[in-house]
Amino acid sequence: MATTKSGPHIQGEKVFRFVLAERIAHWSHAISFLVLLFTGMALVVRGAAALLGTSVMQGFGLTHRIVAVVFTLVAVPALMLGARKSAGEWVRGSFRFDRDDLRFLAGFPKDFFGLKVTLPDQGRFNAGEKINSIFQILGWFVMVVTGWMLVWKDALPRGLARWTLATHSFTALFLGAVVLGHIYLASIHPHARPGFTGMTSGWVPAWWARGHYRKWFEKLPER
Amino acid sequence: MTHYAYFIDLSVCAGCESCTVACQNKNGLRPELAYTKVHRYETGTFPDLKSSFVVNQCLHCDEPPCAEVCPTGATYKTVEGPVLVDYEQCIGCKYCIVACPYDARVFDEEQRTARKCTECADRLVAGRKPACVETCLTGARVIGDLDDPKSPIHEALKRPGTVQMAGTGFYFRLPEGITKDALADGGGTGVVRAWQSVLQPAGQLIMGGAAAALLASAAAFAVKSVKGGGTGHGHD
Repeated sequence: MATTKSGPHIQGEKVFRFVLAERIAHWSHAISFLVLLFTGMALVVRGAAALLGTSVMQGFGLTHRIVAVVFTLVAVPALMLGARKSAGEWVRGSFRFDRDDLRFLAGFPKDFFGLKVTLPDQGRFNAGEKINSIFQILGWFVMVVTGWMLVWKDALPRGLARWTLATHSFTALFLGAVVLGHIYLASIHPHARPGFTGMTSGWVPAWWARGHYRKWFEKLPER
Repeated sequence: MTHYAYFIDLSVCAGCESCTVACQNKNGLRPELAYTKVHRYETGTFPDLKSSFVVNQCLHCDEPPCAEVCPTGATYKTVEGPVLVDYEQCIGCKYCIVACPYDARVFDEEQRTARKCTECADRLVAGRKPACVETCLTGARVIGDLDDPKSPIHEALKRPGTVQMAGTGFYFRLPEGITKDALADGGGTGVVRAWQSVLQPAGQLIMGGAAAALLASAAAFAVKSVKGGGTGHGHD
């Protein structure tokens, strides 16, 4: 596995896309989120809790609280320590949409279903990834704040506790829908999945990066 | 059919808390746990003060929010009226504590369950009165079957100043000069119902929609590759 920390560059047929800290942040967030979603959804899906039984549900409750510590405390410090500059650019860039981004979003549904469409050139993250990023950033904040409030829910004013519970469970399900889309695009969708290795080794195929993120690719220092 | 109504005459309640203790005794509750609690309520400004004792306990709602939010179905409403808990099914998630409009659920830290008043359903079935009714020194508590014309509950409910708690079979008689403000209003359940019957189903629907969309996408690509059309990188 390449462990370079020197930032974006091209090497042969490959382009370096994510440094180790970004990958740690991504996978700690991804795995902890999925465990939290699974253990939390048992309380939401009708009949699931009764089916699983009391001791399993209590185990889920404990797991949910332990994994919540990872979800809360790993990703942000990892980015702050190991990828401060690029993470800052990612956050700022995620909330900025130019004309090409809007045109990308308009054409994306066709691309998603494999229909022929010409999508405009994109930067380091395309407009769809920016939207996913916005949901992940805001969603993380909402889930962390409401989640830790709920650990002490019986000490909160009742009205606040009710709103907190409603917000926590709805946001979780919404993020669950977002993550289904993200996993599908990243690992199955033929146009997007060549980028998967960006989150394992950090490197992606140059041909794919050129097609997918042309504005970013063209600014990369050669080697 | 049995249709229980429960009446508490706050104008004769002496605030002795015998009900609290009798209930704790009957249900084996430690001193810090109580299903029925008595508070002093004061209103007005000196020297024009009014005071009353107010009872706080489960009102066995017709449509109990605590049962609605219970993920395991441990809390349930019986046809006779009492709202009961199957403690074997309780996982201690405390959703019921948050949902209850009357602050009537108590968390037992030792058992890790959210306990509650049973209206002494076991005694009612045996034709006896609940412990709190039986022990009340001033006869402030009356329980009876509304479908039984001979029940003393009918006389009790005729006493002036009697108000019914909306959506429950509980009635309180207020002392003179004390308004309904002294009683819990039972409000705030709108968000609980929205959470259970709108937000959670909507969230699951959105997840289902996302799953359906990506299955459709995967199917479209599968059809394409069978036809030999390749993946056609549109924006390359």
